[in-house]
Amino acid sequence: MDKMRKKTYSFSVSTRKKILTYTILFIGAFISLIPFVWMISTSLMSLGEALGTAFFPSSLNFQNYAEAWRRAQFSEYFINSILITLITLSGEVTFSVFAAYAFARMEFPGRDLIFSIMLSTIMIPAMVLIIPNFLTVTWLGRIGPIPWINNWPALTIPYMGSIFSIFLLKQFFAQVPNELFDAAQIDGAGHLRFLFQVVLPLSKAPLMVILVLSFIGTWNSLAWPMLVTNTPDWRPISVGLMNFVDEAGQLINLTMAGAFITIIPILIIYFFTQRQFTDSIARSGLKG
Amino acid sequence: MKKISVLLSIIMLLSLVLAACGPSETPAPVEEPVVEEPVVEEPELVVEPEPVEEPEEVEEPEPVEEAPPFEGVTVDFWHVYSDAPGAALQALVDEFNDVNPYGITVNALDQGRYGDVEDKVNAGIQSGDLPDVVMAYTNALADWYSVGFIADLNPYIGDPDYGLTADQLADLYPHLKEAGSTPDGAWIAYPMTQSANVLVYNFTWAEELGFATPPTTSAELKDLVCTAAAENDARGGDFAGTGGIVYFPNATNWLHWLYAFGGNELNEAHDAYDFTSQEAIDTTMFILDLKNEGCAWQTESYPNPEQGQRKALITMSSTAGAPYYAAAFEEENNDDVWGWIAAPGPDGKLAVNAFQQMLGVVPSTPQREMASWLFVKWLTSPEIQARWIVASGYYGTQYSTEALMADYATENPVWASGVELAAIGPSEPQTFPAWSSVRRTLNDFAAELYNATSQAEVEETLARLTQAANDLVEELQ
Repeated sequence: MDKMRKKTYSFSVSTRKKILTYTILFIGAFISLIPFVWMISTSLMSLGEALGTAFFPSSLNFQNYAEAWRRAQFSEYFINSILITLITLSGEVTFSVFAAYAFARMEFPGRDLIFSIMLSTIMIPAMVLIIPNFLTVTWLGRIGPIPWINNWPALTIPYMGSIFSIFLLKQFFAQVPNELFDAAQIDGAGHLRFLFQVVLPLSKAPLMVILVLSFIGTWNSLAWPMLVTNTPDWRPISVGLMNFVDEAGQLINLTMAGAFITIIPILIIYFFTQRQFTDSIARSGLKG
Repeated sequence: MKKISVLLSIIMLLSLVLAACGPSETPAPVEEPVVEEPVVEEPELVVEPEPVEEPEEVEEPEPVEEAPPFEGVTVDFWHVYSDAPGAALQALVDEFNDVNPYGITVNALDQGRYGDVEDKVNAGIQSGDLPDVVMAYTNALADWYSVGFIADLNPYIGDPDYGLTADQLADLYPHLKEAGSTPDGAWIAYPMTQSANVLVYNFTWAEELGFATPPTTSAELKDLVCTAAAENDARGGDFAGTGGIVYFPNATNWLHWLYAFGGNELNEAHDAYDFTSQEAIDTTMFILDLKNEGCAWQTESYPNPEQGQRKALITMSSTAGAPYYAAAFEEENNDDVWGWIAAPGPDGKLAVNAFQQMLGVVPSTPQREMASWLFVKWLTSPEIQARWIVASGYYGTQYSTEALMADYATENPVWASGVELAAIGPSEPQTFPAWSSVRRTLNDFAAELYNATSQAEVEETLARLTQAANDLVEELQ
């Protein structure tokens, strides 16, 4: 009996720390998951039930998903969102990679000053930039060969220059040892070849971070697409969710069904890239 | 490693290819698939050949040799309707494009919600990309008028050829001209339809409590809601402390009661805000009395479920909230008859707080402005308005529309209970300087008033509100 009692209470310090850690993590995970569970739960309720205080549906209304899909015109907006996201990501990765490489590994006059100025623009709230950006894209549409407003350029090009992506990649590119560049030079490689054959393969993790974060940002954007589109031709999926909101309230069950539909691609992307994503976050020292 | 390089090269190439093949994506605004949506009412709206008479009427007095002065004019119309109402509105616009004798073409463009429209117009004022007709709330139209981006409709409404006749003007509900006009008399906002903040009333329960007809005075209302509260207190459990009127202290609800008590937001000269009137004090004291007697209470969110559960005999809501109330009653399997009533004042005055879905015309050339007005006039004509109401569930703006809605009213008793209310108004002074800001301030003060403990405190709070409101006006000048 004595032995057993001793065993029961003889948790080592490290075990107790682990229990505490996992308890805190479990609570954190539970709290984080509540909104997600609530979204799925509400998406399966009738409107009357969703307006009340019930947390779980009394019966499962899967038809909400079909109705949300139809009423939000998702079949049209989904394609738009995919195109917008693809174009934006292509541009953002391209420009960020070249800009970050230049800042990290090339010497030119005013490099640090230019980088500091660019970095300082992170401080400007996005809403402040909406009108100036709108005026810029309107003007570019007038002087350019293709219309920008209500077309893909206004929806994508302003987001192709991301100082956060440039900053993140620069930090990684700068860590690549100079010896590698010297060796590449001896083999006859220039900057471009060094970038593509040495630096980028080593920077898979930050590239994944950029792809995931940009994907989420572009996929969820609403205010800017509404401002620069006049017809549904190029409106993204988030616009469809607004169909469930009117001046007196919100069809909350359909909104949640629509919201779940819209985040499915984000979940898929995150599922396939989570290892690189978390690895990169850990290595870059970024915190949420 | 090579895979990454290849992937990146493909992405970069893709971006260049996409950049090169852009021009084919130029917008084609009008023929959107929205029209093809399987909406129940829509086909009827499109197919009905009824409005053939109207163009003939207009065409007759036109001299043959005069070319139609609007031939080829295209009017861009920004609105806020998507889904089924959006499709119904598009069908009406298509019909206008087919039948209007002037050769005017309207491009109807859904721009999201009212806030999105405001953002787009504000941006468009800077860039010059503005529509010809815009749907917005009156305060937004007033703001744009003050900077020269909304036209005064008086010349067009009064035009002997294209304006409104004296009969048509008299047909408009009395409060609507004032609601759409600035203090200097410019008519800047023309009402397309109306909704209103009303009292949502459970007729069945009230009858069971011994009140056969809705209250006609504030005293009767107090008697009724206190009886309901007492019944629920007696039931106990979840029902204790419920049963009366759910009052959420905000600008909309407080003003609604102020109107019923015969008050308004302005001084006698109508040149400054004044919330210190006896009516404002009486209104607040009446609400506090209901609260202190346990006959008024608050819910955490929209009170639809509580009304469906008979935890509230009366709540306050926009008439646009009908589907949410219907869902709440259905959820509780509650067959009670419910509908809209007006707030009654101490002397029997009835009032709602009416809101209009307004149309404004953006200044351009006289020809375009007149073409825009002709579209507005057609869209708000009784026959067209009646069809739009069927699709949208809003209320009309003129007496002759009511006559066309008999069948719809029979099928929709809740909607029918609000028809008379839409005519009485009044509306908030949205064209008065700084109203948007004053309204936001009033929201804060309404909560403060609801927590007041004495009449002296109420009077002091109303005096501060008046000062704050007039300070906001001064800031603008």
